[in-house]
Amino acid sequence: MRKGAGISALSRHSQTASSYSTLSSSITASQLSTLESSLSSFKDHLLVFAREHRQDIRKDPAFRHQFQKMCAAIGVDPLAGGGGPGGGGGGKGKGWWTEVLGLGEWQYELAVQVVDVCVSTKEGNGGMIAMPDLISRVERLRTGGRADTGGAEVTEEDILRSLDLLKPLAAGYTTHSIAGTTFVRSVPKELDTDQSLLLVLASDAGGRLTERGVMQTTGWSNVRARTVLEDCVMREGLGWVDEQGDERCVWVIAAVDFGS
Amino acid sequence: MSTSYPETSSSRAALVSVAARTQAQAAQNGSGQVANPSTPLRPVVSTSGFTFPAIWSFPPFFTLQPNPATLAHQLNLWSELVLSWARYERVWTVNCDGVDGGGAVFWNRSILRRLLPATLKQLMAHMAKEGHTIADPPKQTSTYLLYWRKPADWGQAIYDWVTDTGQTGSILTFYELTEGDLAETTEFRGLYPAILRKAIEGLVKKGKAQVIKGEDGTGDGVRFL
Repeated sequence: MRKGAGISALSRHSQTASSYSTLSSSITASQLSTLESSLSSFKDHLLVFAREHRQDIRKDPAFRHQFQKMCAAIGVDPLAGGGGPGGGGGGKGKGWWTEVLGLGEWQYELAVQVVDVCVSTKEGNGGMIAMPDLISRVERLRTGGRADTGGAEVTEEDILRSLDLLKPLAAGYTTHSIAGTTFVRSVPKELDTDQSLLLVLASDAGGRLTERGVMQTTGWSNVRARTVLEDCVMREGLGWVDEQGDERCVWVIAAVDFGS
Repeated sequence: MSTSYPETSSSRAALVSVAARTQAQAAQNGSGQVANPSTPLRPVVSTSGFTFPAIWSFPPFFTLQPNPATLAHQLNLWSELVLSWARYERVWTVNCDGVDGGGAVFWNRSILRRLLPATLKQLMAHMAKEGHTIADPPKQTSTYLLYWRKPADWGQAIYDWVTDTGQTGSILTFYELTEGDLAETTEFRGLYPAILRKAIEGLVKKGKAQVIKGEDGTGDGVRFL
């Protein structure tokens, strides 16, 4: 800009500045409205898409995963009610989004099934279940026992999402990642360090532990090894005893692969 | 994600290092000190076609569990398994002290595990409490009848069959009922005599049958009303 001399230059300068700012704010406003309208149209399209593919979303885990990723990318939570944090097209009633999709219902249903499996297997596994086992039991529940799981597949992600839903109930469901496998613990009791370590050892050994083996790998005294194994069986209910082998074994049932 | 872990980062590091050591040790020892059963555990199909569930190949399944909650669960699993096995194989009795170990279900030879007589007796006593077995003769703990179907149900099945085949009023011997040519196609063919007698006794109580004492060792008969 040419720098004018004299008093008139000053007023001209302030005039220019003000017209620039008017222009810029009008551009910003138009950009914002374009963005808003395109975002809202995107959301509308997403809704149409969701409505059309409702069945696919409910049945096909891969599809569901992609859809959820897409929703997350634009800040829409398919489980939340209303317009969601994305703003824009809001004003719709709470839970409307959930109703259209039926995904919330689907997710709650899954949560109930997860609880069902955890509770019904608790006696046998002490409230610790490996994710693959949990998934296959839930799938069997969903198909009513049929071997063919068509349309009923769930993924680890689905289960974790359901567990999140259970949080407000303070049921104490937690997940533990041990040696590459996720375990779901349905007993609201924390495992102490020794028990956690035992689980690591167990998942490496296909579930089977001996006092001698535990001593060797951990360097624990035999008293400590015995106590920890005993607690695993008697206090936690995680271990099953086998007394017919060469030496007494404790099998941590959650770490045993039943091939289901 | 929601992965929560109660440990501090240092104890997590300890876990990881132990896991690494375990793997190294396993590699050193070759396949480990004692042969593990093949994993994953799978259902086993017997020569007669009965499918033993995967838990049947789980060694501790054959040791009574010291944890009371686990034990209760274990006994229920066993009870279910024994009943479905007996129903499939049409097994009527269990001899806890038998040389065969009581029956094929109680002995998994491929993993060298069996229910020892004392354990088997405890299982039978547990099942008796649930009404699935009964000591026969009473007041001993060695031989049991298996009620994979209740005597009352057997009685009803027999009564229905008699009615359907127009034999009401006629006299049939106990033997004829379960071993006769006519009975060959019925569900109660080969019904164990002691269970048959209990079934008929039930019908007698309901006034649906009369037992007629046999003469000259021909065996008892029954008339259906």
